Amino acid sequence: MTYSEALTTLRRLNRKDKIRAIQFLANEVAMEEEVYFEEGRTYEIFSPHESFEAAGQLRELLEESERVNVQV
Amino acid sequence: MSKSKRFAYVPLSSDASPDSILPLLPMTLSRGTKTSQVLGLVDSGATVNVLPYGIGLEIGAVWEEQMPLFRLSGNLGNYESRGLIVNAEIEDLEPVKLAFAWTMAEDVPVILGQTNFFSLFDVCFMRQDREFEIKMH
Repeated sequence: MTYSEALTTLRRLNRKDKIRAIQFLANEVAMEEEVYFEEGRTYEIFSPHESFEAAGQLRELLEESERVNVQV
Repeated sequence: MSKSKRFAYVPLSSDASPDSILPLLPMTLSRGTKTSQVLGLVDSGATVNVLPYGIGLEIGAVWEEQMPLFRLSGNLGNYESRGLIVNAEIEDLEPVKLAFAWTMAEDVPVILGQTNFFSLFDVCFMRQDREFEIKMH
């Protein structure tokens, strides 16, 4: 089916189905672009529970900035 | 200057359901003259503070100038992160320096974790009263 044929078909849909088509296309594009977030869904909070090495690096960064009195 | 302050839990749903309230701390982050008002999730389970990419840019940080960090755990492990020191003002408490894991991730809240938010503040959660208190060391 060509784009123009699809448009003709889409125009015939009722309002509710047009909205469903929009949602379908948005999800399709998101999947193609590897964007996995969908509106209205709940996602895991990005809480870094065991990032001990990064925590150590941040502590060193702070100590260094305090030692040389860096203004931020 | 105060040493401690109480804040209300923030409801994230319009019906203010008890299931949707979170300890979100209003604060002003800044570097130089650039500032950003944020709500930081007070998260005792997080090892580090986390700053989403856009907020870092808003306060004038330059990604390439910051030190790369070891890979973070959990979902954030999918994104590169860098160390960033930021000034933070919380109401009339004394301003503090917070060290953030500045992540490339955008869809993440500002997280206030053990290093170094919990090194600076004692936190008491009173969820039944929908309040939490932070106290400077």
